Amino acid sequence: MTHIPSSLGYIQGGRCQPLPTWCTQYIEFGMQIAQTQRGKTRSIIALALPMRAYASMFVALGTVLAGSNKSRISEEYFQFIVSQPIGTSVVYQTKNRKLRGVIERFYDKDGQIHICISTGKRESIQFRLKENVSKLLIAERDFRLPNYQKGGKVELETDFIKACIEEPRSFVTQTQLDCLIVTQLSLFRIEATETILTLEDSKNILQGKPQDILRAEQLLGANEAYRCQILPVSTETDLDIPLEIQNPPIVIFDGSNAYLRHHPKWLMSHQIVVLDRTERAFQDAVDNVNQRYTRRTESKQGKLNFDLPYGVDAIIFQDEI
Amino acid sequence: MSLPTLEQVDTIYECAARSTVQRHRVKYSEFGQFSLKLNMLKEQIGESANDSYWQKYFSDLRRFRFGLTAAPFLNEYRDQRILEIYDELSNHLKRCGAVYPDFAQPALELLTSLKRMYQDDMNPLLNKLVELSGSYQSVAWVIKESRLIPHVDDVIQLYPNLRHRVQAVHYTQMVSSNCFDSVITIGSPKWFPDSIYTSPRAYETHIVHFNWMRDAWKLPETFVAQYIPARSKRTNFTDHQPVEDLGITAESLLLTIENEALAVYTSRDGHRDYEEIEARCVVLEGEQAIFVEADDSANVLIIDLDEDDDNRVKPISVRELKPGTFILVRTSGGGDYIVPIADQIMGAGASSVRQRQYEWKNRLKEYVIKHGLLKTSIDLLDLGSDIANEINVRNWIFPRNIKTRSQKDFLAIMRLVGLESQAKEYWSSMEFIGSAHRKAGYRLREVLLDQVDKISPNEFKRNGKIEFKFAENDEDAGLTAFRVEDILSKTYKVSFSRIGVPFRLGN
Repeated sequence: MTHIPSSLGYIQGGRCQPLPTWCTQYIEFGMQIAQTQRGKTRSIIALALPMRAYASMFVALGTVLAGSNKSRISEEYFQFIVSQPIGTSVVYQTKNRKLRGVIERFYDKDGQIHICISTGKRESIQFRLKENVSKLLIAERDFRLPNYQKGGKVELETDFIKACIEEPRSFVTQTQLDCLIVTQLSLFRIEATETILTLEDSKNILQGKPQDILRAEQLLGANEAYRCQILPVSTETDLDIPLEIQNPPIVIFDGSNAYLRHHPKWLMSHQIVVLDRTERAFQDAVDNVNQRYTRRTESKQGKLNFDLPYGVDAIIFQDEI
Repeated sequence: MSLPTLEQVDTIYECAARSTVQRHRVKYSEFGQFSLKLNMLKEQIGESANDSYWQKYFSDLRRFRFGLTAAPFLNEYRDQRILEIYDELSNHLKRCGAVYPDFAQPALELLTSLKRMYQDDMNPLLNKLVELSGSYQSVAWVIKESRLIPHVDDVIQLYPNLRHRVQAVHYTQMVSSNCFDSVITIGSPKWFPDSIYTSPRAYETHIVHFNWMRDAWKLPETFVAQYIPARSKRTNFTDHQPVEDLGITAESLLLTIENEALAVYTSRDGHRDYEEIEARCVVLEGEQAIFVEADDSANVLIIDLDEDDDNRVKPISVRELKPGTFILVRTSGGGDYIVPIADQIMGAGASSVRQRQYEWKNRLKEYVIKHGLLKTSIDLLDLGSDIANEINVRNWIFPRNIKTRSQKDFLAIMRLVGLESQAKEYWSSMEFIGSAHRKAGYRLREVLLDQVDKISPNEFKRNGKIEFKFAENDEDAGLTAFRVEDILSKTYKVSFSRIGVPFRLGN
């Protein structure tokens, strides 16, 4: 999906309503940032909102929708998998089946890193890692492997996902980190899983949740391929960030505290700072953003051009990577 | 924290899109003249204004003035307060001529100026509020201080056409998803967070205050370099009415606590240097304040309505305390809310271990009285202490401090005060108390989390303070969560007994 369909709506009090303009503006904004290249600089965009509820969720939705159009090999995810010790339990998902396995070894062939995974006591699979890394997931618990395995069924994409995503099967089976959201997990969970979106196709009104598209790992079942990650804002600030989320293309800071506590951790990612004017720490966060603006690399405001809801202020600048 | 629906958030964006802010200045020259004279007299008296004599005088007058600028009152109530204040302060000034001969006459003249407003038919602030409330279905009158809200409720009740349409709300309530047809803030916009005007909860926001109040407020810019997309629209702000410039700034009307006045207050109880502790002053809702230990290791228990349900009640260090959170204060007993709960946990063993705690602290204090803080700390170092110094010795004497962090320092104290042979028993008694205090902290947090869940955030914000009972029928466990209005940057040396005990300046 490259444009938001005008038939996108939501269910309120049992009735289907068109999605408010501000929601679609945030989705489009997210899509646009996701299409912005990171070269020697990255974009910092801060928004000052009358209320931040749902804003980060819709921006994240835009980034994932844009990401679904261009599968990319994530160097960070590749490094993350390569850094796993031998014996780590993994899940390998093809389009039709899901295999449990254990990393047996990494090896070099023709200058490319390959991986060998035991999928049973007497069977294993081997493949070039880089191109296939998105099909691998680190399992949440260790497996005891059978002699042979047929493989489990992969999650079937819903009609809603099919209507939103061009390649729905690989979307639900392949991991690709499109954005990281630093937020209050309990509220984000309600936004992403209790909002019912609707999409009208030629015959039906299809229903789905934002989480169907977001595929935030923390809100998925075990061993599911994900598209974004959530870092709870309450995470200790001096805690090391897992390799898996050290360099996402985009980090969305949902609120002043999320920004003030965690923004120095990501030096390579585009940063979207969603600030609620009514928050206690709002002015501290604005002051910090304004200070960073004075140290910006160069102003390239002309490059991005998106609409914002009325009453939302914004600042955009580039920061050296 | 509950999540608003998409529809509610949509209304807020709609308000932001159509928002207008209009300032209305109302005329009341008599009151302006009284205000001016009050400021001039305070300036004339200078540093002596911090003496308790003048604190009493100014505190009544300033409280009256602030009330009248920050909320609508009926003329009957205003007149009654004028008479009360006039009588009380006239009496207070009877011996002024003998003590402060230069100021007796102007102080009396100020009271005469106050009395000129008595039985004045004018009530321009209330009239303007009624006029602006028009025929809207829902109007919020936004008030700076929670303590004034019950008075405003009374005023609204007396107007049948306002009763069901107008609500008095505290400004901190203006962050929720509730929207109104019109919002009217009473007093200078400088008294309120900018978000009331930049993230309005109504299509129309009005600012109403007296025309002699001066402030240089404008709608603020958020970012230093604003991104302006094609479809941008800014809030429309109108401010055309003239100012009657008497040089009275909006800030000067606020009931702030001044550092000098606090210094006078803290020195008043004549405590000795070994009985004092470095403290910070936390200004609370309702013109009260408390001192809390300034030490970074000291914690206070707070309720933060912006946090997750599980994190709403938490201990934080004083350094992390922020205006807008609620701090827990014991309003009956000695100011410490943990001790009675810890004693309950220790049961029958409490009195003997508390006796030991009292015993070693008292012996240490006696030694300090006899030899001074400096010699005591040197002697402790000689006896094996690692960190004895004047500040630490003072902290060790502090009744709320249970024990030293390291056993080595504790042993040195035991040696110094002649309890070396029982040092082990004393140390384990103090560990027993420490463990009971930690359990008490957990228990208190659990009970508070449970009670906080039952109170709506709006009620918290409107009232500015909420009383809790730790146990049914427990008269001695009165706990109140007060909204923190300010944390003064200076530290003060205050007597142990003042820590955690709410006070009001000028009384």
